[in-house]
Amino acid sequence: MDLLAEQSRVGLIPALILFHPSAEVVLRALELFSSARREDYDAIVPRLRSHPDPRIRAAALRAAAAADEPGKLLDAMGDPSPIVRATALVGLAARAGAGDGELERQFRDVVEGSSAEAQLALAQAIRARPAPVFEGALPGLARSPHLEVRRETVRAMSALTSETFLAPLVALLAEQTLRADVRRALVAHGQPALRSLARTLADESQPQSVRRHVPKAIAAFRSEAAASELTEALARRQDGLLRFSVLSALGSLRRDRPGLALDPVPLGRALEGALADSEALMRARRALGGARRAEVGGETPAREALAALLRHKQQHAVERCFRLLNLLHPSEDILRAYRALESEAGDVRSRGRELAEHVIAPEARPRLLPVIDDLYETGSAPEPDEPEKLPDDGEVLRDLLEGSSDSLAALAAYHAGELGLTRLRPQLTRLRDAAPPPVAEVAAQALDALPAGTG
Amino acid sequence: MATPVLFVGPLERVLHVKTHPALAGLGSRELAAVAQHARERHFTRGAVLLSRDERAEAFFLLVKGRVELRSPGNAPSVVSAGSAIAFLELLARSGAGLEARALGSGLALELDWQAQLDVCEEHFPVLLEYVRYVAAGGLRELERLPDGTWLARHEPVVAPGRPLNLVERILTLRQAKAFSTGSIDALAELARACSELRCSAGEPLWRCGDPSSFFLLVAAGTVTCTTADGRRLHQQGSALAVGLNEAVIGEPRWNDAVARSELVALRIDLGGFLDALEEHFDLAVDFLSVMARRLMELRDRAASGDPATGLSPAAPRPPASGP
Repeated sequence: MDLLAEQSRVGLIPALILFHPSAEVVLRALELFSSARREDYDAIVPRLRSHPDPRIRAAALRAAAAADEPGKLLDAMGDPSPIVRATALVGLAARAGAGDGELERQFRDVVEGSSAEAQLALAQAIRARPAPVFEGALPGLARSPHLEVRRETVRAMSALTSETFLAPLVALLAEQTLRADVRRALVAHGQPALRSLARTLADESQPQSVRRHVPKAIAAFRSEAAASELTEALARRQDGLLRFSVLSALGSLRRDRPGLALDPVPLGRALEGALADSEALMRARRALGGARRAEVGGETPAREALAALLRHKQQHAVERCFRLLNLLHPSEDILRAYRALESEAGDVRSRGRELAEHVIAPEARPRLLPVIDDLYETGSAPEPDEPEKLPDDGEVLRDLLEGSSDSLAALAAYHAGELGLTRLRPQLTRLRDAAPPPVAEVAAQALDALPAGTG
Repeated sequence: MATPVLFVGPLERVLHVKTHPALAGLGSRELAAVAQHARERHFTRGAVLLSRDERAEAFFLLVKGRVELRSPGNAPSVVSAGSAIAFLELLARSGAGLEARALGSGLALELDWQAQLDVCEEHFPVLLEYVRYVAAGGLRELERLPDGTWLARHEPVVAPGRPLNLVERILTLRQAKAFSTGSIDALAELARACSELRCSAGEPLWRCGDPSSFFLLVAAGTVTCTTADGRRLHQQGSALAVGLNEAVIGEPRWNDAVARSELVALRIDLGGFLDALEEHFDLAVDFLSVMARRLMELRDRAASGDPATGLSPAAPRPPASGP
């Protein structure tokens, strides 16, 4: 049934399926028939109002509410099941509008009550019969401790739409299991939702757990305005994960709408930043590796992890370059070259290097190819190190301690403590005093590990 | 009389995709996204769908016909309609050396793996379904391991007397096979989301039938899991997560887990873990491939008919202390 619904072929589902022995099947069929506004099942619905399963009675009642049959709704207020009564309540309240004190009291009792089943029924009924009178109830239901109630509330918000829903919907992006429904509900809210998402993306005081999912929610709008918000966001300074989410969302938008125009200026600036990052990370990684390892007493797990993190960040910077180049000069070959470079097979990487040389735009080529040769074994020798030009451990760790990545700073602090680099005491002290608690704790322990003296 | 040409229309294509156990739980939207990249591949007797000299770049869902599979170290096998070819190998990133040759004419849906990875990046539920499929397969294999198996054994680690700091948590996570190739940024996020568990020898960690909303990574110490029928499985150090498979698929605990010695472990709640997987696609793909390789390894060992030695034949006897 879902597959047929996905292909807009609900009409092919026989109405007789409502006699199916499985309650789940009947419920889903009723939902699909109702949303497709089919009328050929009306004759079967009255039989379902006496079904032993209260969920089916409630679903049949929603169909009656849609058909505006107040008598049926009043009868249902005497049903033993709170699910059916809550459904009837929504039907009656939608008819009466605001101002019926008794209905409003009963309504509030359900919203503030403890029956998750009744709350779920309420949200389902509101979704089936959205009316402004319910605007005030949905934000409360969105805070329910029960996942299914929150999910159905999000769907009801999608059907009703109101600017008062935007803040709770954006906050619910933090919930993995609700995210897809929340995105659809936000799209249903149109431009006000897009503006709200853009504000959240730009606001550093908003929780990261929400902001990280905003780019994909913006991309779901599939519009030029959405693309514009995302390209603007690229130009802002932000943590790596968020920047990557923005880039990934832009890529998805472009895949979906290949003709979409993107502003090349912020994209160019972002490319310049990605190139600079990839070069700086290459220098730091080379400085920590090779002959210097022996000078500092071999590889410790933290040094190894630091090198792995630098490599990973270098890979990410290179990936950012390719993704940005693909946005600036769309070509399937750009992504093909990148994927080949990432391959585990040496011959595929070599072909990727060859392709990259041809498809990378001339302005980026001289800077990106050396980073690629350093990172991947492509058969092209990387430029040899000039040891006197490489920074020493202290300089590398200082830069990492002063950088914007918490993970790098934490590992650098830990390793500085292992190496006893007293000359990094000022940077470690600043980190201890100003970094987020988990990083500050590592810095404090590194300071304790340093020998006395200022170095 | 000529054989009629088979055609798999868009809806039928989705239905075929849905027949695969790894995809059966997906919603219609995700199924449509997966099926969008499926293309028909007609073949005749003797046709090579996969050559042992080339790395598999796609997996096949067999719609009609029979195909013989050969891979190094395994006896040849024959699969028929409804089977997937090279799916687990691609999840495990070990698609080399597999040969698939048609035993007659037939039809398969060919799903390009890179396109599928793009679908996974766009639709996290697809990736999550793959993770659950592999975790469920792994659990079924774990449940039949013989008594005395060492699931993993790392050299004893001395944990600091104070709580582990962020870097020590990251280093603990990196010791786990499932996370050894994950980005440190992703592990740092996971490290922030997990909590530390310290307990003495003999303390229970969970009981058979308990809900499984978390798993453990052992930083120091040994855990023994006793199944309902009395088999005991041991694990020392953090090469493997304890209680991961059932947590991922939402099944109750299948054993009583007890700390055999003083234990320091990271407790990772499933919600935070799934968030980390969704936010760090590379971590998710690496994790999936490690889980898939582990499943293949467990199946190979079970097929080799050497159950007495378990996974760690050279493992020493477990410590004498404990319950």
